[in-house]
Amino acid sequence: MLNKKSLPFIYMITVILSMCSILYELLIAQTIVSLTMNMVVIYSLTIGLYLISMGGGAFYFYKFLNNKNHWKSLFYTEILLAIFGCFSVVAIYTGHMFWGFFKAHFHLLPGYFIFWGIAISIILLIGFLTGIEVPLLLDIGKENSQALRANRILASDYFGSLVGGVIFPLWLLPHFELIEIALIVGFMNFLVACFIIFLSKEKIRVLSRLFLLGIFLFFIVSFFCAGSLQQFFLKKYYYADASNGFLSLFRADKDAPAVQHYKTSYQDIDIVSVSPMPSPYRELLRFYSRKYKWHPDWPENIVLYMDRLFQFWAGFEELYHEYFAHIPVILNNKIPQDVLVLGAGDGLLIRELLRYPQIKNITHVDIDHKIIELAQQHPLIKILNQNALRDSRVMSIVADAYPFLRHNQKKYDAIYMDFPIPFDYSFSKLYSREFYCFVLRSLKEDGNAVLDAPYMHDMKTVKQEDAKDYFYTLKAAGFETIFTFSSRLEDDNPQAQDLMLKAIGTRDRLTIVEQFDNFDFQEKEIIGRENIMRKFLSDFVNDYKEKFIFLKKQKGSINKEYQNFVEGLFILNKERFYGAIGEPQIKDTPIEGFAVNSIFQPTLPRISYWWRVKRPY
Amino acid sequence: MKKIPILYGLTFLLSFCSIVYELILAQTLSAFLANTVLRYSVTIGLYLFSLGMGSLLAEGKFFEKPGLHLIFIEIFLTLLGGFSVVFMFLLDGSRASFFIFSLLGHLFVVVIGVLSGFEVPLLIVFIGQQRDNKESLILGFNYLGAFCGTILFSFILYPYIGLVSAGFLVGLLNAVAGILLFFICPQSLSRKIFYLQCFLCFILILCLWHSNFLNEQLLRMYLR
Repeated sequence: MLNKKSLPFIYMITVILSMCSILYELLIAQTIVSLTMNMVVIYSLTIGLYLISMGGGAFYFYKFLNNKNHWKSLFYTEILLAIFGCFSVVAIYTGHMFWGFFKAHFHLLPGYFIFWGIAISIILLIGFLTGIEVPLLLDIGKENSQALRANRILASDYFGSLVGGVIFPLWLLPHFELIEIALIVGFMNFLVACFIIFLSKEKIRVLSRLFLLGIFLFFIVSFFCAGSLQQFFLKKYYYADASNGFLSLFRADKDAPAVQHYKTSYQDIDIVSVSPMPSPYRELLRFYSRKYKWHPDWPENIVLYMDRLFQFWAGFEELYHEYFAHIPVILNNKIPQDVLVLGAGDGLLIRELLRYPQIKNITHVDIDHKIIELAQQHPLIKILNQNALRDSRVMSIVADAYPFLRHNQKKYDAIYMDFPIPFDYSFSKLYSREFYCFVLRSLKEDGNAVLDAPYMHDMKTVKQEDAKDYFYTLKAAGFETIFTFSSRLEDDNPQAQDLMLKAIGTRDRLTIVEQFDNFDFQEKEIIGRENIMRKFLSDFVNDYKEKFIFLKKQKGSINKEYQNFVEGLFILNKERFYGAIGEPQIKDTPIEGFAVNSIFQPTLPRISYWWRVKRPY
Repeated sequence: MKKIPILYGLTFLLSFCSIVYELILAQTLSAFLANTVLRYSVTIGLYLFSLGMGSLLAEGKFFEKPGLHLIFIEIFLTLLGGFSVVFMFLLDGSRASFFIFSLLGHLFVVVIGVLSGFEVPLLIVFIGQQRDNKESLILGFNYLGAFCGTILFSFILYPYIGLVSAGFLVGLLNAVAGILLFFICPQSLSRKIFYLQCFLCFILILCLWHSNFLNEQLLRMYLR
């Protein structure tokens, strides 16, 4: 049934199928990575499991399929791949949806089992099916022509992987949703299956033709529905709520406002509208911050997420940005003239810096042009940052901060670093000793740098080792002054306490549930209005506490006297300044070499808790 | 000595070393050049392309003296892979232009890929001499080696050993694999080559011994 003319078609099919195979691998890895925390572990595990199941598929072929009709086997494999492959992303999203549901009802362990169970099953299934392909094609080639070119089939396999490996991050990922990519690849498998029928010249029954037509129509319809399916899952992620029952999971949240979703080559940006804060928190926020007293028209109920992780909430972002921007100026006792801002693409930090007329230039470097574009043009964000990125003093450069700083010759008075949490080796280089050396080099003698230190703000779940990580790395880079301060609000203010007491009303007994990531949860009873009030207030204050590290080249005195360099701040005042700088510092110890994070030997990201799944809060 | 288990072990080791070289190079290039996303895709893409080219070029007369060809490939790979990182450091320290640096860096990727592409067809020839229809197991061990390489690089070699020393370590493994080859086809390989392999092992062990010192020097050069 085959002739010599089929040989080039076999090579072509090999290229397409191996391209589809690597696309599935990257797609599934990317989907799981987008929902979990540690990219290194997840990527390696996914690809590893995929390769193993491919081996399993090859083994299955040699055990069971060696004597069957090869074209038929290939056809069935491709149809199965088309069907399961196009659902792969949806299945993993559904797994996450179930995880969220179980977590909300305090069952972390079943939630994790369901999510990882589904994810791993998908990897094994797709990998297994694609593993059957290459040995199958090798055998088809053998029976087809005497001039068996095993190495040509292998070469076609490699070429297909090359094409897939390059177009995935460079073309597919920036322009299509993951659900859509799964549909595209599944559709390609389906087309190959149809082509195989044509090539093998077998006769097909009418029922089979109808079946194929049905699948074809299914794909066409799915392409149109992909957008709404994506919105469905986005809403489930951001608006997940414990109050609904299990069946409500399958109903679309029609009344929830649409999630504004932007894809770039570097990250996914989501702008989510949230419901307003309930009392008494609303009043409490108004008490601590004067932002909405002075600007009642500023947006309040939007949250920006990058890669599904919280970045800022419009309602209270001024706490983070004011402390970040202004406390270093006071600590250094000097208003800088030339400022470098790395990261912070939303423009809110720059809004704070622009309050100083003495600052002449702000050089702003961010790797993603989309966030800069949003900061300049999105109707809500540009109000929030007061058109900071369009100011004449600000120059935005789209570049990777690491090579930018490495080749930078200019010296700055102040350098601000606001980077995402290092989940992968490509982020951990921004927290490396080499990078901090470049920062040091780019500072004037009396200049200062300041960075936002993730992991450090919640000392409950973070060990002292993480703090030491920063400390050793910064010290190894050559900074002599390393000082931590935090965005701390006071919880002993009588007015705030009164507000909270009023809101609690007459309730004097409270049961709270605390859930830990080691899968257990504890119920605690709090008795007495005063104690309930204290608990709520301290929780509230700790939720917003972030830690920052202030750096200077020489060992010198840090100015710990409050200076009023700028008027019109919403939150920061004298008392809060002293509260922010008053926390205990890391003890100065000699550097432990292996704890220094280097681009050539990284200590971040941490491998522990690799199974953790992302959540929006 | 039983040849077949050695062949499987050899396949595993060679594909392990091959992919770890490429991962080391990808990380090194991203330390010296910009744009990580692009960098990784281009490196892995080039690697796969070169593997394909290597497979294609492995035809005809190439299979006449498989042992000899394989040992020379291994010697080149050991030299290139083991010292590629050091070479990139030195190149960067000499303030070569971005273009030249980029070109040479990617040339490493391509050459290592092409040489690695020759390996599997040659190994298939060897297994064909022993038993029929066992290519699938060669492919299987090839995949397994790639899998272990990826996992070990991400979890152990990169964070705990560092890029430079990992290069030496994997080069050493490659040299050891070359020595294994002498058990597979002792007839076609001369003594001189055997001594050369041992010498390479020795050099790499020496480099590993002094890796702290070497790392410090290279870092100083990098930070200037």
